[in-house]
Amino acid sequence: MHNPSTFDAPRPAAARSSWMRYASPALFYPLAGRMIPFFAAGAALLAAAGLYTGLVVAPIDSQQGEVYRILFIHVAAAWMSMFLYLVMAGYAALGLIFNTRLSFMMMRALAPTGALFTFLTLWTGALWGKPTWGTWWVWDARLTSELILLFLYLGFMALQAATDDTQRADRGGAILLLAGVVNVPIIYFSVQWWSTLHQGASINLTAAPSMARIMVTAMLLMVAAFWLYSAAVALARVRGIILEREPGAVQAGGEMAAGQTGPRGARTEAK
Amino acid sequence: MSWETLFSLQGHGPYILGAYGVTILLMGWEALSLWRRARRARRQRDESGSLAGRTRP
Repeated sequence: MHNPSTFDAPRPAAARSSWMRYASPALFYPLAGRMIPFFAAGAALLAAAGLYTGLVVAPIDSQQGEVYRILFIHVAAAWMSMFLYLVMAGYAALGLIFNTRLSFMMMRALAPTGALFTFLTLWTGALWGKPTWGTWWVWDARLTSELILLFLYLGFMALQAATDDTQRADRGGAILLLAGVVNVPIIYFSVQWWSTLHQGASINLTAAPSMARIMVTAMLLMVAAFWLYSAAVALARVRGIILEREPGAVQAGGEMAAGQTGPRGARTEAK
Repeated sequence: MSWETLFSLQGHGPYILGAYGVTILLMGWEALSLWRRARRARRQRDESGSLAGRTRP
C-alpha cells in the first residue's frame, strides 16, 4: 500500500504553475484565446508598415523596375512555407516521441496556413517570373522542390481528412511530415547545388545583404507580419480542433482556469 | 505615389496587384473563416450551456 501523504498530496504550486502544464489542451485553450488578439494586432501593424515601406517608401529597382516589389511578399511567403513545415515536423516528432495530444493538434492546425503560403510563393513567383524571365514557370530545381512542398502539405491534409480515426490520422500524418522534411534543405540549397534559373539568396546570415537597406527593411517587416499572422491563425484553428476533439476537457479547463484566476479568468472564458 | 502610378507601375501593375491582391484576399479569407467558425462554436457552447442550465433540477 502506498503512503498517501507522498502520493496523494497536491504537487507543489511552483511545479503546477510551470509552463509545461499548457501541454494540456484544456489549459492551452484559454491561453491561446488570450494570445490571438496580440498576434493579430501585431500582424496587422507590421503588415501595414511593411506595405507602406515596400510600396511607397522603397525606390524603384534600377534593373527590374517596379515589378521587384512582388519580392517583398514572395520571399516572406517562401520563408514561411519552409518554416511552418519545419515547425509541423517538430510537433510531429514531439507527438510521436512523447505521445502529446496537443503536439498533433498543433501539427494539424498549421497545415492549411503552410499550404497557403506555399501556394502564394508559387503564385507570386509566377507573377514575378513572367515579366522578369519571360515565363510563368520553369522546371527549375527551386520551383520544382517548392511545388513538391505544396504536394506534401496537400497530402498531409488529405490524409487527415481521409479517416475518422484521429489517432491513426495523427500518426500517419506525422510520419509523412517527417519523411518529407528532407525536401526543406533541398529547397533552400537547390540554388547552390544545381544550376538554376532562380537566383541565389539575397539575404543570409554570413554575408551583408545584396539589397538596399530600405528594401531589406520592407522584406523583414513582411516576414514578421506573416509570422505573427501564422501564429494567430494557427492558435485560432487549434482552439477549434481542441473543441472538436475534447469538448469536455475545454469546459473542465475553463472551470479550472476560473478557479485559479478568480473572476477575471471566469470573465475571459465567458467571452 | 499617385493612383495613376500605382495602377500602371511601368506596365507591371497587373502583376504586382495580382500578387498583392491574391495574397490579401486569401489571407483575409482564411482569417474570416476561422473567426466565423469560432463565433459559431461559441454560440453552440452558449446554447448547450443554457440548455443544460434549464434542465438542471
